[in-house]
Amino acid sequence: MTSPLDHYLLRAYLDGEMDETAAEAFEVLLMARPDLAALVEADAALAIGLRAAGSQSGLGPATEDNGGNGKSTGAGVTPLRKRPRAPLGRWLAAAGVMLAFGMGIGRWLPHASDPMTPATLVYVDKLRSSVTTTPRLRLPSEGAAVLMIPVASTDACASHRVRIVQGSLDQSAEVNPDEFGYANLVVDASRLRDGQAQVHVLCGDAPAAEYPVEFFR
Amino acid sequence: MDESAGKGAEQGDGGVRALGESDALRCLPGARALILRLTRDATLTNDLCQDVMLAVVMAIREGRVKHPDALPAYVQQTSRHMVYASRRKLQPVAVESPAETETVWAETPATPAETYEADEQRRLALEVLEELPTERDRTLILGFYVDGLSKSDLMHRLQLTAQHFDKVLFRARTRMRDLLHERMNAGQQRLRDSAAPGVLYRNGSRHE
Repeated sequence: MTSPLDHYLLRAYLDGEMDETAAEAFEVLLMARPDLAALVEADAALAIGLRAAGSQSGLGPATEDNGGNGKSTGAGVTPLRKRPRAPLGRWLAAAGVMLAFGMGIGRWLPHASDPMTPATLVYVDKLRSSVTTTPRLRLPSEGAAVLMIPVASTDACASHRVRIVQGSLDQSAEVNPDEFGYANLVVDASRLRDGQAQVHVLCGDAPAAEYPVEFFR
Repeated sequence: MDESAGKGAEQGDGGVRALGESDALRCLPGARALILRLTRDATLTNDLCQDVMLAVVMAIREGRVKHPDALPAYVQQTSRHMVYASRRKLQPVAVESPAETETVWAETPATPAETYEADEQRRLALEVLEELPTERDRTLILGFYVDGLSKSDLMHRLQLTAQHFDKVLFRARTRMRDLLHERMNAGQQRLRDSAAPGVLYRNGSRHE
């Protein structure tokens, strides 16, 4: 069974986001995992088949005009170059108006609290389970901490939830993983205790990953 | 392959499970995927896979690989070396060869099997493409695989989130994998069906 971590690694490998050493390590894993190997083979087969189809049947590259002869691309695909670009100018104008408005409001309103507050980044599992020892994470004595938790997004999971359990203390929140597969959670550091904790990642109600950590200050 | 044929089948030291020649076959899907990814050539991949398996079985027989945990890394390295060696063979040779020979070599027609294989791959890839629900998804797949555009470029052009991008690619790869499995299973079924069971029907017509 492919885990979210497998999906994350597979995507990084296929998208060429791994360095040479990591890619070779993943290839060794492929030898022992036919389920992952099947997806790698499918990716290569897709590339070969589509390129062959493109060269033979006029299924042109998605960025070309096909000579401007108006021929269909075969699968109902409009080449990217024929598409209108994003209306960037309009957005820039709107942003300018909003900025001017905001600056005016800012001058008019009395100063309240600081517009920015510092936060401490805390990687829950920077090495993605490649070490066996429980990581020790330093928390700030006060203020905000941003917990970065590996949550690989997969097709099967519509919503992720992160739960932090420290004895009787049990906190959880819905999260949206970023493009690198991390969920970034802002936590008031004073609400976390020093000592052992379990960080659970849930897909719906099903457990997807678990990271034992130790907090200290 | 006979596991008892070589040294690899002998009981290893320290209670470690002895490595058998059939263990090499478990690495075959991985080796095939790796070689296909590096070469992008199905025919060459088949040839190189055979060479890799032969080399690995020989290594097991001669006792050069003993520990089961070492086998995946050995197969991976052998696969890479085979691909590098095949590329070296394709480099131009220093000796000047007659131009007509080069032309003939370059224009060697594909065999029927190669043509069939290429047609099948085209058909499956187009099937995957046509099953995608929106034009934008199809454009994404073409941009990624045919144009070789980067993820960030495609996300910007099509105004997609990284999550949507990954989802479309994952869906296409999974569907292609399923189609390849279906085709493989259908091929095995055809082979079973084509074996005429003459012995079973020796007392009469098989249609009786």
